[in-house]
Amino acid sequence: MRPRPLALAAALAATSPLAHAPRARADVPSAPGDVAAWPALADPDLVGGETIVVEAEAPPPAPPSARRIDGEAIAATPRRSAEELLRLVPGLHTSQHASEGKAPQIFLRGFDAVHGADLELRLAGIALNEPSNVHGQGYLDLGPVIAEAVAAIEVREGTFALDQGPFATAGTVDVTVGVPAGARGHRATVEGGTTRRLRVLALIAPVDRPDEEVVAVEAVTDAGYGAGRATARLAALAQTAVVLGRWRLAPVVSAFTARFGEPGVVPLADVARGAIALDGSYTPDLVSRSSRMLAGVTARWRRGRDEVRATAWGSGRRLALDENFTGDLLEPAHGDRRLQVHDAHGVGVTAAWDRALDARVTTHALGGVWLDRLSQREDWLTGDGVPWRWERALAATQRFAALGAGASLRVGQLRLTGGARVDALAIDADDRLDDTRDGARGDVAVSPRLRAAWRRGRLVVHAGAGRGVRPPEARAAGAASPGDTDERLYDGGEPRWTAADGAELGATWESARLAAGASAFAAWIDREQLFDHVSGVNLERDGSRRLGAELHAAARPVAWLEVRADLTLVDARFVVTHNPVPGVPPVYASVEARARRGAWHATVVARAMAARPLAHGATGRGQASADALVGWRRGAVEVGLSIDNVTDARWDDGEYHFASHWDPSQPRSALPRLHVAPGRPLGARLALTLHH
Amino acid sequence: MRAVLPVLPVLPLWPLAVACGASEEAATVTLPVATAAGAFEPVTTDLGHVLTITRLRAAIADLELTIEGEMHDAVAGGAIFHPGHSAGGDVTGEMPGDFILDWDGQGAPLGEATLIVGDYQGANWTWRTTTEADGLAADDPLLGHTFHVEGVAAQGGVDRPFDAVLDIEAATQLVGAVFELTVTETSTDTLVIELLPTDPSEGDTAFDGVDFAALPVDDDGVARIRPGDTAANVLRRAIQTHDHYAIESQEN
Repeated sequence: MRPRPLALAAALAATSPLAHAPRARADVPSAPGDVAAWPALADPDLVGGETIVVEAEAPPPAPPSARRIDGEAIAATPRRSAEELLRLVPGLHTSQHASEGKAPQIFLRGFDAVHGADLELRLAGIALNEPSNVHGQGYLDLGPVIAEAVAAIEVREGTFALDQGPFATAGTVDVTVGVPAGARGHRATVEGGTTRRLRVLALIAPVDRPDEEVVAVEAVTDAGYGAGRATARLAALAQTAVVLGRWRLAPVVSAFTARFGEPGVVPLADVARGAIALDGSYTPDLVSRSSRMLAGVTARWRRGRDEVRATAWGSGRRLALDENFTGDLLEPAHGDRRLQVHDAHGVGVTAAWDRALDARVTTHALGGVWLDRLSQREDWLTGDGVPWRWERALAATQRFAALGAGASLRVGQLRLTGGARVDALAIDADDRLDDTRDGARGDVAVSPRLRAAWRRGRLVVHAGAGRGVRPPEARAAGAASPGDTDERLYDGGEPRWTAADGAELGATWESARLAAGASAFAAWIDREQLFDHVSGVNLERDGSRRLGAELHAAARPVAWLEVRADLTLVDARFVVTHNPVPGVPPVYASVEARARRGAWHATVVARAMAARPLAHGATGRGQASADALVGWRRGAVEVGLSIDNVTDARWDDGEYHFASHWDPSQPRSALPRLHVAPGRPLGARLALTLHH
Repeated sequence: MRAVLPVLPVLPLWPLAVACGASEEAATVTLPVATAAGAFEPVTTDLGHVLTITRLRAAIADLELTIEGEMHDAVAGGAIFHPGHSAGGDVTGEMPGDFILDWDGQGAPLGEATLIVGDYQGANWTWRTTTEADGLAADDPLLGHTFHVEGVAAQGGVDRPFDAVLDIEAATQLVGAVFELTVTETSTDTLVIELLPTDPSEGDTAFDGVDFAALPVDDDGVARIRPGDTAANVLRRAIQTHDHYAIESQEN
C-alpha cells in the first residue's frame, strides 16, 4: 500500500468547492478504520513538530445517508439553541412540546425516536443518551452543546457501522467539539431578540492552538413567545488537546444548568371557541429544571499499521420535569400534574483498534463498558404543587458492555466493511414503592453490520445492511408477569433489547459545482418491547416497518452562492394494523441557500412538511417555515441579524391527538382531540460579536 | 440586495406544505347504545344451582370504548398521555354520563355513543351508586346501591327465589369488556350491552360460590342478599369483572 499522508486528505477536504455540501460527506468517519476522520493528527503543529505519516487506507466513500455539517455551515445557519442544530440534519424533524431546554421529540427515517430512544448522539465521543431516564428511554438533552464550540456534526442514518452503539436504531449523530482553523480566535457575543431574549457568549479559541481546543461559556434568558415559555440557561464547554509521545489526548468538560417553562399543548377546539390563545397555556407557571456535568478524555494513538482510540468519561445528572398535559381528565379532584425527578451518575470507557494487515485488508475491534446508577421518582401533585400520590420511586444500576470485530476489504473499486458487535446489559432495579418489583435481569444483543461502496468515475454506488439496538428500561427488570391468561398472550416477557434491522441502497454523483445523491432505505422492528408504566408489565408492540427514499442535491452556481436541497419520503407503518406510525412526516423537505460576498453573508433555510398522520386517524397540518440570517463582519466587529419565521407563517412545533380536560365549563370527554404546540412567530435577534 | 437573492430558491417549498392542507380531527360517528333484550338462558353454578335471572340492573357511569392500538396490551386503560408516548387500549369512543343497565328482557335504549372510526377491542365503565337523580322510586331496592338482581335458583327440584342488592366501592372501574367491532364512517349499528352470567371463555358463572340453599329466606320465601352479607361479597367480586359483559353490534 502506498503511504498516504493524512494531511493531504485534510487539505483536499478543506479546499473542496463544496466543502460544506454533500461532497464533504467523504470526510465522515463512518466506521472503525476511517482513519481520515482525524485529519488534525496530520498537523505537525499539533504533535510537537513531529509529522506523523500514517500508512492507512483512505476511508470508503460515505453513503448518501451520511452527512457532515461543518463549523462554517453551522455558523452560517440561523439557530437559537443546540436543539436547532439537529434541524440541520436533512430529513430529521424535531418537535418541542415544552420550551427551549427540554429534549425535543425526534423523528428520523420513519422512527418516532420520542426524546432520543432511536437516535444515538455523542458529544466528543461521549454518548449523551440517558438510559432509563424517568421521562423517556434514551432522553437526549442537548444542554451541554454550545453551537459556537461545535466544529462539525456528522450524521449517519441507519445502523451500518460497528461503532454505532445503543439507541442508534435510526442513526447516529456525532458532535465534534472545537473551532475550525478559519474561525479561530477569541470572541464575545451579545444577542438580543424580540422575545426579550438576551444571550451572552464568551469563546476562547487561540489561533495557534489545535482545532479541538476551545472554551465556551453562554448565558441565555428568554421570555419566549406566548405564555409559559420562558427559559434561562448557563452552560460551559471546554476541550483541549495534549500530546504525550504518540498519544494524543483531548480532555473535555461540560456543565450546564437550565430552567424552562412547561406550557403544555393547547386543544385546538379550545382555541377555536376562544377559550385560550394558540400560544397560550393552561400551565403558564410550571417550571422544569435540568443540569448535567460531563468530563471525559479521548486518547488516540497511532503507530505503523495500528491505530487505537479510547474515550473515558464520567457524568452527573439531575432532571426535574413538572408537567401537566391532560388537565384534570384523569384525576378530577387533584388534577393530573406530575413531577418527574431523575438523578444519575455514570462512568465508562470505550476503545477501538484498527490494524491494516495489508494494502487491502484492515481489521477492526472495539469494546467498552459503562455503568449508570440512577434514582428516579414520579409524584403526582395538586395544582398547588403538593404531592398527593407517589407513583414511582426506583433506584437502579445499569451495566453495559460492548464487544465488536470486523474487517474492511478493498477489491478493485469495491470497498466492503463489515462485522458484528455484541451489546450486553445487566440491570439491578430496586423499586422503592413495591418490593415485589425489584429485579435483576440481563440481556445480550448481536448486531451484524455491513457496508459496501463501489466507485466508477464520479459515481459511487452504496449499499448497507445492519441492526441497531435499543436497551430495555431499568424498570422493566422488575416488571410483573401478567397473571391473566389473555394478558399472557401479550406478555413482553423478560427485559430485552429491541432490534431494528435496516438496509439501504443509494448512489452519489459529484462534480466541481454539483453534487447529488439518492438512496432507498428500509427498516423493520419485529418485536418491540415497551414497559407499561401503568400496569407495570412489559408489553410487546406490533412490528413496524419503514420504507423510504432520500434525495439531495447541492450546487455552487457562482462562487458566492451555495444552494442545497433535500427531500425525504417515508412510509412508516405497523405491520398488523397497517396504521401509519403517528407523527412521522411522510414528506419532509428542506432548502437552504447561502451567500457570502465581501463582508456580507446571508442564509435562508426553509423546511416544509406534508400533512402527517397522528394517532387515531387524525391528521397534522402541512406546513412550511423559513429562517434567515444576515451577517456583516469587518475586522473585529461582526453583526448578525437572525429572522425567525420570515413569512410569519402559522406552523405547529408539535401536533398531538389525545384527550384532555381543562375548562370546568366544558363536559369531560375521554375522546382524543387535536392539540398543538405552536411554532415561533416572526421574530428577530440581533447579535454583536467582537473578535480578538 | 445580493443578500436577498438566496430567498428565491426556498419558494418552491411553500406549495408542498399548502397543498397538503390543514389539520383534521379524526372522523367520528354517533351510534345508539342499549341494553340487550331477551330472557337470560338458565345457568348452572359450580354448586349445582340452576339460576334463572328474571331481572338484573346495574348502575354505571361513563362508558368508554377502546381500541387496542398498536400494542398488544390487554391491560386496557392506557398509559398517562404525554406527547410522543404511545399506549395501547386507547379510549376513542365514549358515552359519558350516568346510566342504569336494565336487563329485564325488554331491552332499553341508553343514549348515543360517539366513536372515532377504527377497530374496537374493548369497553370500560365505572360502577357507581344510584341516587334520587336516577328517578328510582323511593322503595326501589336499587336506590343507593349498584346492583339489583332478581331470579330463581333451582336445585334438587326445589325453586328458591332470590333478590340480591350489591354495593361496589365508588369509582371502581370495569376494564376490558369484550367489544369487537370495526367502526366506519357509515356505521349505523346499535351497540348492545350484554350481561354474560357465564364467562364464555373460562366457563365460570357470576354466581359461583353462592350456596342458595343455605341462604335464609324471609316470610315471602325469598332469599335476600344484602350488602355486607357473605353471599353479597362473593357475588359482587365476580359480577363486577369484565368477564361477564360484552357489547355486540346490532343492525338497525
